[in-house]
Formats: sequence, structure tokens, C-alpha cells
Amino acid sequence: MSVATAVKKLHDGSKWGNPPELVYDMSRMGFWLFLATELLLFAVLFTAYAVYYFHDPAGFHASAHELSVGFGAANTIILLVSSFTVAWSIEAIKQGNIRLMNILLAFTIGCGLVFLGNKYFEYSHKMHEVELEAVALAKSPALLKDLKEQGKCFTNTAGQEVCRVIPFNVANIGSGDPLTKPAFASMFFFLYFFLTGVHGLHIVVGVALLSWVLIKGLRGEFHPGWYTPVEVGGLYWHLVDLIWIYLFPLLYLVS
Amino acid sequence: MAGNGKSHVKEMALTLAALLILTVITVWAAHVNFGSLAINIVIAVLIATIKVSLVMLFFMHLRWENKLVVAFAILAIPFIILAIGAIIWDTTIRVGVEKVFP
Repeated sequence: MSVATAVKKLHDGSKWGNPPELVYDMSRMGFWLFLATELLLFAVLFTAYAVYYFHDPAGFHASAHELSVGFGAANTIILLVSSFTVAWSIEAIKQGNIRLMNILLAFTIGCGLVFLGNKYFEYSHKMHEVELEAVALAKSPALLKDLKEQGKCFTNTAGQEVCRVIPFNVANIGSGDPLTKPAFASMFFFLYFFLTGVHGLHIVVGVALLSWVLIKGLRGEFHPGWYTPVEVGGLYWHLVDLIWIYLFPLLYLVS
Repeated sequence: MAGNGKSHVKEMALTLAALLILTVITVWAAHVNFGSLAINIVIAVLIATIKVSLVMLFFMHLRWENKLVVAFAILAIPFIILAIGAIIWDTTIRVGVEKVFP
């Protein structure tokens, strides 16, 4: 085999008819432009959050209190560490360390899956009825009366009067009446599920994208002269991290 | 290829450490009363912005990028500030600033 054929067999992105350096530069620029559209998508959702926050700050604070800061903080740390490992994997392939790159990419994918697992537990908790002290519902006598008629209220072992309610009540979305609205505003939970849902979808896409990059990496397609897919996959993963950095304080810490 | 050669792992490890410390500060600041809940949110968003800048500069390589890519990267930011800022301004006027910043 001549040297020329051996070089041709090496993957370098030049199959599009462009030199790899150009593909590398254009891919990054194009991907940043795509990330800009992603930022604008989330900007709209954050604007919705801001507008409804100003309409009902007290409701938002009471609602945020229902979220687990522990889960949120754990997911923040998972995403920050995975962001670091994916950035490190790019440094590894720049130095030609394919094995380290593969390990770090696999670790990052693992972090993404753990994040989704955490979200599953959080979501299922918010979907089910929780026990709430009847005192907390004092501001909504109509709701308390309804719950009592439905037999949802009882005295627990600690001697407190509690009612079983669903934190996220679809029926109350958009309700502006503080008397009929539950102690925790449903608009907050609508935004919570929408924002974290769209963000979770990005995690799923990111995990799929990095898995594709990892498969290519295991096949030995990357080397210091061609690692554009690793770099671009990494940029997408960092975006997911960027969004979460804002979501965490706004959803979990406004109580 | 661009950016080839020097390894930035050390800078990135320091960035991760800074991000984790800022996360702890965010959680701590949320439990401190700075006068009003709106001020608390402004502080939380400011810390988040510092974290986002660190991620963009080091993890996303903007510190070492060529100028054209940097220009594309920051293209959306003024428009986001304009969109969110203008709508928050409008909303606070409608709702009443005294309710938002008591």
C-alpha cells in the first residue's frame, strides 16, 4: 500500500471536498450560530418565567419551596463535572490520546443518564399526590372545602390535619384568582415542567450525539488531525450545562 | 488544526473548581436575606452569569477561538438582553414596581 492510499484512508472530514482545517473552522462557526438559536429559544421561556413571576411572586416562592434543592444541586454538580470531562476529552484527542478520550466520553454519557434518572424521580414525585398541612390551605377555603368533601383530608399520626393534593394541577393553569388557586401556583409548575422538559430533551439529544461520537471514537476515526465531531458534540453538551446553570437558581432557589 | 498543540487541561480543572465553588455560593446566597426576594434573584442571576461566562470562555474554548467564531458566539446575547429586559421593564410598569421591589 502506497503512502498516498494510507493517508486517504484516514478520516479527516475532507470527503466533503474541503480541507479538514476549513471543515473544522466552518463547523465551529456554524455550530455557534445554531447555539445562538437555541439560546433564543430558551430566552423566550425565561421571559415567560419572568412575566409570570412578576404577576405572582408569592405563589412562585411557595411553589419553589416544593422542589428538592438536593436533587437540583446534585444535578448541577453532575452537569458541571460532565462538562469538564467532555472538554477534557477534546484536550485528550488533541494530544492523540484516543483511549482517554473514549473513557471521558463514556463518563460524560453516564453523567447524562444519571441526570435523567434523577429527573425521573423528581417528576414522578411531583405528579403524585403529596400530604400538605391543612393550615397551608387556609388561604384557599374553597379548595379546602372541596378537598374535605372528596375525603382527601385526615389527621395524621403526628396529630396534624393534612390534605392530599397534587402539586402540579393542570386545571389551575392560568388561574389568577388567589382564593381558588392552591397554595402553590400551578403556573410555576407549568413553567417548571416545560423548562426542565425542554432542557431534558436536550440532554437526551446530547447523550445520543455523544454516543455517536463515542462509537466513531471506538472505531478509531479521530486523531489530532481530525476531531471536529468531538469538538462540536462537546459544544452541544456545554449548552445543556449553560441552560441548567440559569434554571437551577430560578426554579429551585427562589423560595 | 487551529488550537492544536498546547493542552488546556489545567485551566479547565481550575474552571471546574471555580464553578463548583460558585454553585455552593449560589445555594448559600439563596438562604441569606438581602432585603428583598427580587434582590436575591438578581444576585442569583449575576452569579449564574459569571458561571456561564467561565463555561463559555474555557470549556467552550472562546478564550482561544478566532475572532469570527467569537463574534458568532456572542451574536445572540445583546438580543436576548433586549428581549428579556424590555419585557421585564414593561411588566414591572404594569404590575407596579412597588409590588416587585417592596
